[in-house]
Amino acid sequence: MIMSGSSWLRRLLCWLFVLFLLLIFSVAFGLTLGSADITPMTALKVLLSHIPGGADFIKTEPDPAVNVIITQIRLPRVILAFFVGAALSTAGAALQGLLRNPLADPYTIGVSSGAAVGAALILIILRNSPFQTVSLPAAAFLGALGTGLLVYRLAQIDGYLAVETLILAGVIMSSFMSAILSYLLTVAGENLHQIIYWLMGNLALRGSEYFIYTLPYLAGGIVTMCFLGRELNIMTFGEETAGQLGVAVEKTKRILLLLATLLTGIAVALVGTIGFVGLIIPHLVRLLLGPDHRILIPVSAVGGGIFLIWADTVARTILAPVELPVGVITAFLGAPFFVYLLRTRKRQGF
Amino acid sequence: MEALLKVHDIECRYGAHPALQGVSLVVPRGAFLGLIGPNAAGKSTLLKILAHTLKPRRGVVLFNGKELDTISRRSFAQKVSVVPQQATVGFPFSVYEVVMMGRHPHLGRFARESKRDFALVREAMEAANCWHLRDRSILEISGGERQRVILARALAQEPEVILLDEPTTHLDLTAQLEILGVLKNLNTSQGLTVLAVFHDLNLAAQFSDQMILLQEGKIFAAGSPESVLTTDKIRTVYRTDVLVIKHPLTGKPQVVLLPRFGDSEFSPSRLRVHLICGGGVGAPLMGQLTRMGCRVTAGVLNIKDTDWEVAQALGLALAEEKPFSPIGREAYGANLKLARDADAVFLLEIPFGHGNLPNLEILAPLLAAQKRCYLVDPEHLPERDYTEGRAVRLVASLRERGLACLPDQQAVLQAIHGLGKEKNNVSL
Repeated sequence: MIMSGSSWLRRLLCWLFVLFLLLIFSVAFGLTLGSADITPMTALKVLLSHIPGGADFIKTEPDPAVNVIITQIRLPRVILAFFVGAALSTAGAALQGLLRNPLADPYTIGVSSGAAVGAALILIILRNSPFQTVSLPAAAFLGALGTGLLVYRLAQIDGYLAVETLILAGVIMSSFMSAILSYLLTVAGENLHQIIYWLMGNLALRGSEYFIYTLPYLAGGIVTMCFLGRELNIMTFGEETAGQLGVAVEKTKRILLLLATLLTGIAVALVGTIGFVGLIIPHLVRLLLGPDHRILIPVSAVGGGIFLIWADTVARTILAPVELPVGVITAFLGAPFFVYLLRTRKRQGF
Repeated sequence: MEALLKVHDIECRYGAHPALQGVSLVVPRGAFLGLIGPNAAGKSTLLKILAHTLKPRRGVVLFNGKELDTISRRSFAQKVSVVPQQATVGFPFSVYEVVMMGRHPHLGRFARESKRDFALVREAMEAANCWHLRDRSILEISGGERQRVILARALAQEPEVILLDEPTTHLDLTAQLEILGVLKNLNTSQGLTVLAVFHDLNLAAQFSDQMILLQEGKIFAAGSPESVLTTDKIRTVYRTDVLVIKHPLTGKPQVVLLPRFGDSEFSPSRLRVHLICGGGVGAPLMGQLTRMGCRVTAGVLNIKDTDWEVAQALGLALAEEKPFSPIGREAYGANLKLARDADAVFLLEIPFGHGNLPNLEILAPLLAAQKRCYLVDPEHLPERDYTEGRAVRLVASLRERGLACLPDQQAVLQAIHGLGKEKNNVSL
C-alpha cells in the first residue's frame, strides 16, 4: 500500500458512509420491532408524513395509533439510544488514549458512582414527590459532574495533571461513592428496587424526557472530541514528546477530561449507568481500523450509537412485555464478540 | 556567530537535590554541540530546559533572543525538535503516521496535510533512511529503526535546532554511526544546529565541533574536543584513569580506557621498571604497569612513534630520538641513565636494525653493573634480526653475562610481581 493524500480522511469518510447505511438499517430495525406489529413500509410512511412535502408520496393516511407509537415512543428512544451510545463510546475512546490505559472507560474517573449517589438520594428523599421526575436527572448529573471535578482536582499537583494519579483518584472516589451508595441502599427500604433498576441503566428511565435539552451539549461534545484526534495521537507518545511536538498538553488534557465528564454525566443522568459500550466499542474500532484517533473517535461515536440502538431493541423485545435492562444486553452481546475479535485479530498494543 | 539558544545562570532542582547550578551557555547557529558528563551531571536536565520541557527554578532561557515563556508550544515546535533517548510507543501507528506527526506544529486545527507536508515527510524519511519502513508498525521495527523514525519525525518539524538526548545509547555501532552521520550531514550541508547529549565520549569527539563537559550540575569545561577531552579533565570528572590518543584517521581525540587490575596481591607498588621498546610493542605494558602502580620509564623511542605517543600520554619519563633517525649518543646516554635508576630493565620483542642496535648494546654496561635485565621472546629473535646476525650474536654473549629471558609479556608481568614481593620483603 502506498501512502498518498490524506489517506486517513478518505478511510474515515469511507467508514462513515458504511456506518451511515448501517445506521439507517438499524433505525428501521429499532422502529419496527416491538410489541405492536409495524412493518418497515408503515414506519417509512409515518416518517415521510412528518417531512414537509413527504406526505405527497403516500396515498393513505397512516393509522393514528401507529403514528403515535413511531413518533412518540420508538423514534425518540432510538435517537436517545444513538446519542447515549455515541457519547459513551466517544468518552471511552478519548479516555483510553489520554490515560494510555486499555481498561479506561467513561466511568474510570468516578462519574457513574457520583451520579448513582445523586440519583439514590433523590429517590429516597423525594419519594412520591412530584418533583422527583425533574430533580432525578438533575441530581444524577450534578453528582456525576461533582465527582468528575473532584477527581480532576485531586489529580492536579502544582498545576500539572498527572494521568496516573487521575486513574487512582478515580478509583478511590468510586470506592468512596460506592460506600455512600451501599449505605443508601440499606436505608432505602421500599425504594430499593427503584434504585437498583436505575443503577442497571435503562433507556426507558424518566430522565430521558429531558434528552432534547441535552442534545446540543452531547452533539457539541462529540464533535469537539473528533477534532482533538491529532493531539490524542501525539499524546500516546507521552506528554513530554507531545509538548515537544507542539501540543499544548495541559490544555488538551483539561479539555478532553471536561468533555468526557460532561458527555458521561449527561448520559448517566438520562439513562443510568450503561456499562460496556464505552469500553468495548473503542477497542473494537481500534482492532479493526488501527489506533488513529482521527478515525477512531468519529467511528466509535457512530458505531457506539448503532450498537446501543440494537442492544436496546433486543432488550425491550426479547422478553416482551418485560424489558431487560439494556446493560445486560450490552455486556451479553459485546463480550463474546470482543473475545472473538481479540483472538482472531490479535495485534500488538491495545 | 549568532546565538540561537542561550541560557543564563540557570538553576534546577529535583526536590532538594540540585540538578543544575549557575549554568550559562550559548548555542550558536550552525553549531554541532556535544554535551558530556558522568551520570547525574545534569546533561538531560539541561537538554530538557533547552527543549522548553522543564522550567528552571531560576535563570533565563532565550531562543532567538526571546524568552521561552513568551513563545507558544506550537511556534516553538516549529523551530526546535527533540529526539529522546528512547521513544515511548504504545499504539501500533504506522511509521509514516508517526513521522507525519512531526508536521503537527505546522498544521492548523482544521487543516489537512498539504502536498508540501507529504513532500517534507518523505524527504525527512529518506534523509533518516526509513522511507522503506513507511507502512510497518512502529511497534514491530527494531530499536535502531525506531530511533531513525523518531529522527525523521524530528526532521519533519523543519527545525532550526535539533536537540538529542543520548540518541544512540541503546543502538549498535552501525546504527549509531548512521544516525550521527545523518545529523552531521544536515549540519554541514544545511546549517542545522545540533545539540546532543552523548554517553560515548569518542562519538562525541568524532562528531562535535564544540563540547561541554558537565560535572555535578556545573559546566566543568567547554570548547573544542581537543581542549575538553584531556586526560586530566576526564580523570577529575569521571574519576577514572584514561588515555587520550589521536584518532589515526580524523585526528580527533579518542579516549581509551586503561584496564583495571582487581588482584590486590598483584601490586608491586613503586617498583621502577624501564622498558626498552618501540613501534607500539611496549604500549600495552606501559599502561598495565602504570595502573599497577609501577614507575615506568622507557627508551629509546623515536618521536611520533606509537610507543612514544602512549608514553607521552601517560606522562612517562623517556629517552627519545628524532623521528626515523638512528639512536644517537645523546639519546643512548639518556636511556642509560633512566635504566640505571630502574629496579629492572625489560627489552621487549622489538625488531633490530642498524639504527636501533644501541637499544640492545645498552644491556652490556647495565649487566656489568649487576642490573637485572630481561629479554622477551628470544626464541623468535632471528626473525626480528635485520643486522646480518649481529643482534643474535650480541644476545648470545649477553646471556652469558647474566641476561635473563622471558617467553612473552605475560611472563614480564609475573616477573614484576616476583620483584615487587622481593622489594616489599626487603623494605619490611
